[in-house]
Amino acid sequence: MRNGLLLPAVAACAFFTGAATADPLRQADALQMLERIANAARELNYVGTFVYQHGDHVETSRIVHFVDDSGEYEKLEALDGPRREIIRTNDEVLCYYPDAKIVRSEKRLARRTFPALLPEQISSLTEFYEIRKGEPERIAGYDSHALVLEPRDGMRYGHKLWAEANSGLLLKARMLNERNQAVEQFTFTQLTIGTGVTREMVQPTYRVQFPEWRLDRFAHLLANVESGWVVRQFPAGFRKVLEMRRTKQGGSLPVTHLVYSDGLAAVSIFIEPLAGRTQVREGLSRQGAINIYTRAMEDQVVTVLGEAPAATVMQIGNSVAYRP
Amino acid sequence: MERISALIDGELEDDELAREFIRLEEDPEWRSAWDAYHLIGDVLRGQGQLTEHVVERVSARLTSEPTVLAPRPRRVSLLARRAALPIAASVVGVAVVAWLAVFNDPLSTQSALVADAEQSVESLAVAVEPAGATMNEYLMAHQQFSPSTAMQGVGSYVRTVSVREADYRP
Repeated sequence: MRNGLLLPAVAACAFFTGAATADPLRQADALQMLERIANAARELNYVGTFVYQHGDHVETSRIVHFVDDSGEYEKLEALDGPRREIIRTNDEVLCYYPDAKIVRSEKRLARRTFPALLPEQISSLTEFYEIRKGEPERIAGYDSHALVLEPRDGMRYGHKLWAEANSGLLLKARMLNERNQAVEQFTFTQLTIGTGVTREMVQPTYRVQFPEWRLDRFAHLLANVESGWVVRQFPAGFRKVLEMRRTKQGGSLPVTHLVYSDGLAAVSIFIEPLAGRTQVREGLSRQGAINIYTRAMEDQVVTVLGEAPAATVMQIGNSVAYRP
Repeated sequence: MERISALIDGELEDDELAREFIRLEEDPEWRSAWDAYHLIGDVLRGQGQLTEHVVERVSARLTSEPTVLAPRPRRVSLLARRAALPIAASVVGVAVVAWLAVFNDPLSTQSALVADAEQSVESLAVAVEPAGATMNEYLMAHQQFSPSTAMQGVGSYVRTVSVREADYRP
């Protein structure tokens, strides 16, 4: 009886001490690493410069994250090209386009924290991804642990994450297609964790004054509505996270917004009335790892977008139906 | 034929590859050799639907549809079926539209370009322009639900803001 209990314990020790880099990680260990990354992003003060690459596009941004008793603040500044800035204050995200004098506001909905988006997804993560440790790497002067999440089918991208060895802060993130090519990559090139970050550093650069500036708000009116819109054929592993009703263009256009996720990737579906528009540009486009698929459906326009392969957003888009 | 074989197998260096693609565009003989190569491949693999005039068809499609990656669901699925062939139309599609882009792409290697041919929807996606600025609203609304935001904070919003603000004005 004693031996029977001891053996699994010995095996578990062997796993932790002798695990080769190619060995699949146990679900619990993988989740712990993901959770550590998410916690570090929320709880640490840091300031750094990162490079974002997709296709032939490379751009550099500066990010500052500051937390104190009053809340969480974040500032993202584009260092290349036209001036753009994002300021997050707890659950409000403001996006400044100073040249066009436009500020866009988006309120974040209270939700479960990643990776616990949905309890059932936690148990299915290893069903759709093979998770293992990658080769440690030195990034922006820090040692990191790597986590590789390889999809088991073609309906999702692969992920490779490099987390700082001590804090778990994400230093580099790469999304890969089924041919193991990067579709996008974020890498810190310079980073300071913990010290020297102040509240002043997360203040917006621009002072918004009306009427010179215009405020765009894509408001959500109702969360957890039953819109009647359904997706008949889902790629395996994707589950509905949220269904909400938004308004667009000064509140005149109701837009249904559904969010589905497989735990690592999210796909949004927007359904809005054609409202007299005679031309809709149907088809696929993309922004970094985000594929966007648009189609007209009777008097509605369906837009599906998410950090998933084109096949996935198309399958979802083509199976959207109204079943009140 | 050797050159075509090397081209398909990804054995050519960057500059050679560039030359071959230009030749493929300009030289009708070379193009028919390319088509023949695929025809032979199709027959050997017992494909019901044969690859003919790959270059012309893809060029024509790309010319008539310069901005939309995959114009209609039905046509895309047709293209996707054809992409089951090891080399389909897309290698040329990538060459025509995204040549410079792929060449300067620090994330993409040369063999990756050739490998792109194996999957048409994705590889054509290499060629596509950034999403129009009208998408900004949706991209931003989506971003808060993306697990990448939970792991990177607003850093992941760079996808949203990298759209040119000149386009953004309605």
